[in-house]
Amino acid sequence: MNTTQIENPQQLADLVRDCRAKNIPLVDYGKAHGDLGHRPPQSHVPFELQGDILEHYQRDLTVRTSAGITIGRLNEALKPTGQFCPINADDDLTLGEVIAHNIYGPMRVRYGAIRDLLLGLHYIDSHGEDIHVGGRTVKNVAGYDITRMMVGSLGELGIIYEATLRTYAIPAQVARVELETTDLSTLANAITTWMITEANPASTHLRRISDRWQLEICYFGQPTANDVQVAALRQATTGLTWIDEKRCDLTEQLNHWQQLRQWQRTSLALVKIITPPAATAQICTLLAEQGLAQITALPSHGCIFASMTDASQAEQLDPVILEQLNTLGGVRLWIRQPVDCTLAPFAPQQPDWPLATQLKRTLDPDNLLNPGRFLTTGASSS
Amino acid sequence: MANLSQAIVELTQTLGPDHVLTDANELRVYECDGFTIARGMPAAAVFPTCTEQVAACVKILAKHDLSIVPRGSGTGLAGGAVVFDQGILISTSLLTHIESVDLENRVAIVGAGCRNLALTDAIASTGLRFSPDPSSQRAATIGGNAATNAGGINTLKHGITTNHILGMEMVLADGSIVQTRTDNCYDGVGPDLPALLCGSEGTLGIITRLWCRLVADPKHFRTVYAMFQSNADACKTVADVIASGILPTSMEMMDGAMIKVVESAFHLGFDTNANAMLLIEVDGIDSVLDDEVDQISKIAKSNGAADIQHCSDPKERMALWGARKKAFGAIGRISHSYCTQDACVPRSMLPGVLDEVMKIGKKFDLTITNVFHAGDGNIHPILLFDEEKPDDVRRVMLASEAILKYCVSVGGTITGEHGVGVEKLHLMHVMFNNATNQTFLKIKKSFDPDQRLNDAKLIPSDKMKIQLIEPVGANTPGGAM
Ligand SMILES: Cc1cc2nc3c(=O)[nH]c(=O)nc-3n(C[C@H](O)[C@H](O)[C@H](O)COP(=O)(O)OP(=O)(O)OC[C@H]3O[C@@H](n4cnc5c(N)ncnc54)[C@H](O)[C@@H]3O)c2cc1C
Repeated sequence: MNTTQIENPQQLADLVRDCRAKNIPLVDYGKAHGDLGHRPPQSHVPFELQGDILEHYQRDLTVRTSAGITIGRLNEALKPTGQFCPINADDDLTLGEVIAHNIYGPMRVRYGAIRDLLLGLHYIDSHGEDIHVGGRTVKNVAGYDITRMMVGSLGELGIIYEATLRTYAIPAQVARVELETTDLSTLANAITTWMITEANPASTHLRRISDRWQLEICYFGQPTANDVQVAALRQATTGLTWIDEKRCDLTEQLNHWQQLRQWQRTSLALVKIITPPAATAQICTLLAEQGLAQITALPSHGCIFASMTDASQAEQLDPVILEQLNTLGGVRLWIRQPVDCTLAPFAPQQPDWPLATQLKRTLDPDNLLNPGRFLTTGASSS
Repeated sequence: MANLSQAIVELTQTLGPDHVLTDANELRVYECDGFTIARGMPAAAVFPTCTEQVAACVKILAKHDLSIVPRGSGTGLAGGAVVFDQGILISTSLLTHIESVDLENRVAIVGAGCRNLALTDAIASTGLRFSPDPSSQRAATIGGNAATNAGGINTLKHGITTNHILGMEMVLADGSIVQTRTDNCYDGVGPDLPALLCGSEGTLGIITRLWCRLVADPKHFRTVYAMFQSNADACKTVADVIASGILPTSMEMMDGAMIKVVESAFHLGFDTNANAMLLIEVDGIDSVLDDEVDQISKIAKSNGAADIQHCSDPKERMALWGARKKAFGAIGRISHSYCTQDACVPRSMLPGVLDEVMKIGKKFDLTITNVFHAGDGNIHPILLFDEEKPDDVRRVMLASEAILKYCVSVGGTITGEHGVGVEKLHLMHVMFNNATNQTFLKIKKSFDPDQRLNDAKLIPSDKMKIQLIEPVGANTPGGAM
């Protein structure tokens, strides 16, 4: 089926109305998360948004852009002005995908996740209407905060056409420290301790390398400030081995993170686990004990990615993960399930999912947008 | 069919007589919130002590078809906690517990009635803090902060309430109890419901418990204040500092009249001949703060600042910020009543906007003074008037409308942090197109099909009309004077 390329909001609204009249669902699962959730219905219209920066309010540190812009393009366009948008996502992902899937990375510690960067949205609802929420001011409490509500909505409540975001000054320097350990039991305590001292990190990133854990801590700032922070960290790293220290610019650091994520793009079976930050160590340790080689985590926010080799490993480990989450709290989602695997895409059931389903019924009563991907409403579109 | 007396009997049975207030004299304190223009007496006020009691009250009130208004401390500035149709007020003032403080996850679980400052004080020794710091933090509840998505003085760098609430428990209109996200997780799957509920002004449910994200309490500060000959120079400084990429913790501004009020109340040695003042703070790594202060001072000087002072002494700093936080209270020295407006504009627009505010003041023959979160572009023109004079009230409402419409026309919003309440209902159509307003209403009805919970607040209702601009009389359904 040909993918419809959308170049303006009118075209998108017309497409929605047309699909609605014919009762054919509209489907956009995105690139990196294209396999997340229940499969789309056989008959549907796939579409893709095009786009670029619409207005950069340089003096206000905000940017209005089409949701179809890629993250690479967004930051390339902002760079000559000395600003950037601190989104940790691969260069080829669109901003719309980042918002719909709530994609974030190590920089969340310093700059927040996409919900913290978003100021306003223009989206097309399931009736083809233009909905404008939020705006270009950094504070705005007029009406319900639909802008942030759309974060993580997996394209099921409306089709985001345009977004306004905060931008930040590009930091003068990035200082990167690599630490190593075989035992994660003191990690949560260490992170809180660093946070309340001058060692307070701008990013944290944990990964499994052979039989060890490598923890990367970064600082973003003036070289003199970075020196102070690195020195403070050095004093507070009991139980962790200092293996490397580097200074670089932001572009190099973003590329470095992108390279570290490569395996996630090619993994045949990729699970994402959200758990309380302090439980990161326990779950990562458990996954390592089960023989998983590729594990990465954002320990300050309790977000873990792990790769499995095939369906049988995924089916064997899934109940183990769920058992942990039932005790520790949290949820897991298969970003990519191996072929022939029939695990529930999202589990365990969370208390607010019925409320989210009710919202889906309200905003997309005919189940037109990515129907059945996450929220099952009972309404059917062909 | 509403049956008030039977409902009161059942509420009393459920909560005990001490927790149900029906005496008109005692109810008078609940007649308004910080926006004193909007007044309405509740038929009763109830004071549950736990979520289950809140749920039981909601079920009783639903059974008897009575409307409900949730209330924290009543410091709101938009009339959001006022009852207009003889409904029942559910106060969270007894849900004050701090259930747990988890340092490893950096999360505190609190009851909705816990005061903002009570949490701050309770965790002061941990090195962590709950960041939202509205000037009303001594009195305002965290439930109220979440319900209004409150801002504050350090919002500029550290974010508003929604950035610090991980999840919440709430009682819905049918009395069911739901929890959104949490388990101390920083995330969930699906639409961000905590974000939707933050700022929903009690129209979607009654928040009973919150999971608050704790962040590092900064240790090193520099506080700068600079005096200017004009508002425009001070505003230009704000815009230039932001454009330079420096991100202060706060950038607060006072105009000449406000400087005089604050100086006469707190005696801080401010030059009362100045026409504007910026109070700026930076926090972070000690060794670079002086550099940032230098850069800010240079920018201020280039915009004509005559006197620039800075301090790192904690006592002096506390005195400066204490004065800023109490500035609203000090206005009582110069006016019988005042109405604090709240709009937000792109920061680069500030100089023009303040000019226009003063022109509008002149047009409506009102004195307007200003103390506001300049770094956020969040203006708070304070309109001075006499509440007893109907013509004063009318001119205040008209001038407010003119200010807000102007702010919207330059890319701003009708409310930056206080919320819409009843005060700005009539401007929702200026701010949003019809389809967007309809979407808000659909969401409201999906949570609260009978429109029982704080109806006609935040979004225009198709059930009840509250008209403030042409008041029709106190305590009259459909009127709000
Ligand atoms: C002197 C002064 C200074 C102020 N400074 C600031 C400031 O710097 N920044 C700022 O943002 N605001 C400020 N405010 C406004 C006000 O203090 C805030 O909006 C505050 O968050 C309100 O909290 P409250 O507990 O008093 O809520 P209330 O006034 O009782 O209620 C406010 C709204 O929230 C709803 N509500 C309250 N509790 C709940 C609940 N548990 N569940 C559901 N709905 C609920 C009410 O129905 C109402 O609509 C100031 C007010 C004053 C008087």
